[in-house]
Amino acid sequence: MSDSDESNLGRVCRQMAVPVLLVVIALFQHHRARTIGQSSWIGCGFGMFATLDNHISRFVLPRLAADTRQVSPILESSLNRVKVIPTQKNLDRLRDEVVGLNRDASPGRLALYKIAFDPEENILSASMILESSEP
Amino acid sequence: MTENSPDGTSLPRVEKELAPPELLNVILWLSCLLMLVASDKSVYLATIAILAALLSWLFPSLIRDPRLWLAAGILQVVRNVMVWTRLDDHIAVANYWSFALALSLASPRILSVARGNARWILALVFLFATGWKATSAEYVTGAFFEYTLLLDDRFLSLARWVGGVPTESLAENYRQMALLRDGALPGFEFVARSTDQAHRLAQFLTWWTVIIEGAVAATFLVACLGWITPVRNWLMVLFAATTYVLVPVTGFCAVLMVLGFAQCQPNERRSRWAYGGVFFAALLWTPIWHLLH
Repeated sequence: MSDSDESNLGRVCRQMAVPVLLVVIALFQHHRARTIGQSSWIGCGFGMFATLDNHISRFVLPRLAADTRQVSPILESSLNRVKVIPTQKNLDRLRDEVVGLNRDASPGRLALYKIAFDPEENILSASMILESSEP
Repeated sequence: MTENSPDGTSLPRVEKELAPPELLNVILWLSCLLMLVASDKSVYLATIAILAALLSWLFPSLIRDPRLWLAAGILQVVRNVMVWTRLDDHIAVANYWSFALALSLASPRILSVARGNARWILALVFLFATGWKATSAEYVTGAFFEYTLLLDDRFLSLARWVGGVPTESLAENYRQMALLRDGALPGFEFVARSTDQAHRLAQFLTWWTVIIEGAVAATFLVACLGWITPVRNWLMVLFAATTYVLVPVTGFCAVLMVLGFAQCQPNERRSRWAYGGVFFAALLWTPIWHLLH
């Protein structure tokens, strides 16, 4: 390999390494959004301001009225995780953490909701997308 | 093939012929400032930015040392990976840019490599953003912007002044949404108050956004492939001016403007002034917007 070949190769690597990394991560995020419902707004895929069903419009509520209505802010990290990545495992993990914080109260089950919007009639409602397993 | 610059550091001769070393300094100092602006209110990220700036001020040649930017990039990754489920995309782009600068500074053709990196990053960011919008059913029907105008308080001024939605209606929308999210009333649903004008505005925003973002993506991609497209800079500035005046996401605007500045050809002086101007205007506009809001 001559010097000029080497420098051209080096230049291409230096110029394209970061853009290639960007593409790989963005495609991975896109795949997860399509397969497991990961929020398009999060994960370096540049899908912000493109979807209504995202981590901002999702929310978690207890399924039993006897439970406290709000999930403690202490659990913000786990709460945010399940809104970004709405999987059974993440919701169950959040439920376990809720149980850990509220040993005296019946934990019941948690449900993850999303906002549904009918643009024809401007009707907004909530629909459940996931429910935690039995504690 | 190097020679000493006025401050004693060495620069490849080929770079000196293309552009003065001052241009590289401006890009690097703007990038330092960008790290601070795009720190996401994180003390950790802000500390990295301030430390990098302080060390570069004390030891001027350090700002051109690729190891400084590599270290800054790695330190950002450590934090960003830990909080990735609440990481805004522009913070990741600022992180990519630190690595791109490290690679550029390690190259004999610093400005050329930095320019290529910045241009590709911008082209890809806008390509993915356009792709997401064009393939989202919620977006192309106009539902996304209809919802956003009526229920996202960052768009309150736009909905009120341009969409003609009375303040009381918007306040009622926000109140009803809080009830819905509270879950106190099972099966609760409500009709968001709107106007025909707001509906037309939502349609306009939908198509304007996807067209301008698509145009930016296309012109930057073409420029990446070596064809001349001076119009790309003005499209980017137009995008920033029409987007961030309405909703000042300062960090994102700053990232786009610094990368826009860095990817300009040496003779694109007016474009650099425009990018720099919008960068600082965004910093000033954000507190004013919050006061008016």
